[in-house]
Amino acid sequence: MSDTVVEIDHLVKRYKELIALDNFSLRIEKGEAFGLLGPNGSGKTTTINCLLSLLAYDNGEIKIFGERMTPNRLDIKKRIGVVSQNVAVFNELNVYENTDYFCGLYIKEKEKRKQYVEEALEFAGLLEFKKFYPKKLSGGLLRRLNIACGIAHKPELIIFDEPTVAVDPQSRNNILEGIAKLNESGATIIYTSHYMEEVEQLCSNILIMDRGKRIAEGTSDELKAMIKNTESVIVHIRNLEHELLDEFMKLPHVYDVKYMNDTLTIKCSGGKHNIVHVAEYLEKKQMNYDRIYSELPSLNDVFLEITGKELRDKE
Amino acid sequence: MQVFKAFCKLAWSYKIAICIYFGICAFMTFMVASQYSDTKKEEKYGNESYHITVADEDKSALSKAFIGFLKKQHTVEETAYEPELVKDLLYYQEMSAYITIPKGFEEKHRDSEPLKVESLSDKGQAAGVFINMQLSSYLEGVARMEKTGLSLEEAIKETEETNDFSKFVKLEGKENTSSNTHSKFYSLLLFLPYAVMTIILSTVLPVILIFSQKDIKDRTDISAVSNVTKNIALVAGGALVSFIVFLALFAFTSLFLTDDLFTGKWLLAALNLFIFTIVTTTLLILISAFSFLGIQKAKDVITNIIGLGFSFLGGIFVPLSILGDGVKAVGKFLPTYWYAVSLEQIDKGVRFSGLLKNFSMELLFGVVCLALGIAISSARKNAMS
Repeated sequence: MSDTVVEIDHLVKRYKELIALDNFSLRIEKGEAFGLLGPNGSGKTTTINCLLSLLAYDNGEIKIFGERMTPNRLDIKKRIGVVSQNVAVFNELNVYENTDYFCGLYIKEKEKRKQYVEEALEFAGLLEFKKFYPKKLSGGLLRRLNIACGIAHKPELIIFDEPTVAVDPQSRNNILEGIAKLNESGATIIYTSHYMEEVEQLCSNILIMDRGKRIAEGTSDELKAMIKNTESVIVHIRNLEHELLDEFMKLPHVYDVKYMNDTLTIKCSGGKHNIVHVAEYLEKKQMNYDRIYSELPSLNDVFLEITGKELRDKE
Repeated sequence: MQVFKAFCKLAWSYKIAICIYFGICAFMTFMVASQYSDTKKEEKYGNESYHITVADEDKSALSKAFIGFLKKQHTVEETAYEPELVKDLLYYQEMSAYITIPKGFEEKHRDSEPLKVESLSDKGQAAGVFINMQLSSYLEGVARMEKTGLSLEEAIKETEETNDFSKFVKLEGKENTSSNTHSKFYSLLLFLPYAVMTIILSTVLPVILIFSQKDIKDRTDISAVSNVTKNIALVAGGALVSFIVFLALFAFTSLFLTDDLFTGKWLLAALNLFIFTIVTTTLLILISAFSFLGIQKAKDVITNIIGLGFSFLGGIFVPLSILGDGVKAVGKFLPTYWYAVSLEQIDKGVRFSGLLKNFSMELLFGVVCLALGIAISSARKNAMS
């Protein structure tokens, strides 16, 4: 029996003239935490909506648990949990009633459902708030309720569509830890976000997409290895003459130099001890600097180099 | 079942709105019902018993029959007083009239002389005038009846029957003493569509709009509950709440219509309101088709515009006879108009077969709403895809 949980083949989705998904393919294995990265409008949510049969697509094929996914495949839907980008709960029902309602869409047995709801509330840290109405909950607690509603029926595949948008750092950490626990307990996770550090922390496999196309896929390290940049040396230095920038370019492995706001950024490709070469050169030229340090490339660098765009919206 | 239960819970969360609109309805019912309580006042007046003193100097069968007639309606004391004492008693309103039946009362009658009694009363008091009128009416009545060939006993009996004032007041008072041109039955049932619309729009509509919210809808659509099951549950929830609203309003109004309970016209009125309730439910489907416009926040405005607009244009607040031709022409497109027309005809005694056209017009509005609602939802769904 195949361990492939999700299989998308050459998916095409058009909105009139706009091609939202352009021959997009992906494969997610059982127990994987799969990250779907891309800027706003890259096609992440469209992919998820097609996956869940909320949207009809023009071409291609989607299989979940080895079966073709259609709107009427309730047996497949029963094994999927979704935590949407927007909090989708009833303001008129309290925390317990909301979780019970959404769990009840999958689990009919009353006793079993009661147990599942209690477990979901405990998992989300909402047991003490179960009589609270959503309007009385903070943004973080509301997000946790949204998660409890999505996972209460113990799905095998859980899709998190940007679950940490507009969440404070503490709540974000709680949410990420919870998702990691779900993954450890055997659930397959699809995590879409434009917060690369979350994806990097959580996902074993990452797919970067833009304009409905697959740009790159691999582990965090594999993705970083795909780009030219291997190390950036940053020097905080004042009043550097622009003519000297060309001199830095002559250093070994350096391929790009920028100086802005008293910060000199020297990008290197390959080689070791690049920071030492830069420091020696500065000493040799008797240039005083405040601070020097080295940075390894992030997924943002990967994305920037591949697409020429910032991954995250400017805040 | 889960969707249905949630629907009912959400609808119940609007219990304050239900109470407010039901309170308004109850207030209006009391107000309308109170307009018809004048009839009771008339009956009370008609049955008012006055204190009359009779001095029977004749002691004949006719004089005793006459006293018997008076006793049926008044407190009659048979005694003779001194004229001065009588004046005092009348002045202090200890009695309303002092009637003396003169000696030879029956004998004069046999001699075909006009019957006369002496009556002392305060002419300035309504009671005195009223008693004198009764006396004349009775005595002239007996004489008239005898002229038709009846015996004295028969003439007395017939006259007493025709002068039974309580019957007279009860019958005439209902029809003529009221200032209302329509019956209580019509007036009380006329404004029920407003109550039905406002209560349903303020309880069922918000719930349907909540389930139509994109996020909630998507979350339900991706669940293990099919669309058909979900829609059936929503329709069942809406129908149940609407039916309860119909039952509660009609039952409450019926408390003021005890004379008409379980009669043919009462049943037809129930059917008329039931059809209107169904039509209102279909109107919800049309309105909820526009949920993508974010009408959730405007639900109170929508409730008031539809509730008041339909009621004014359809002859619910203003009787159809007063509405101008232009308004009537517009009203014909509304179910409230056909409800009002049906109710008017039901009140006039028109039977079911005669109401079919009106009921059909009401239902036609519902069918149009349903078709438009489904068409708009489908078009929207296609556009989204």
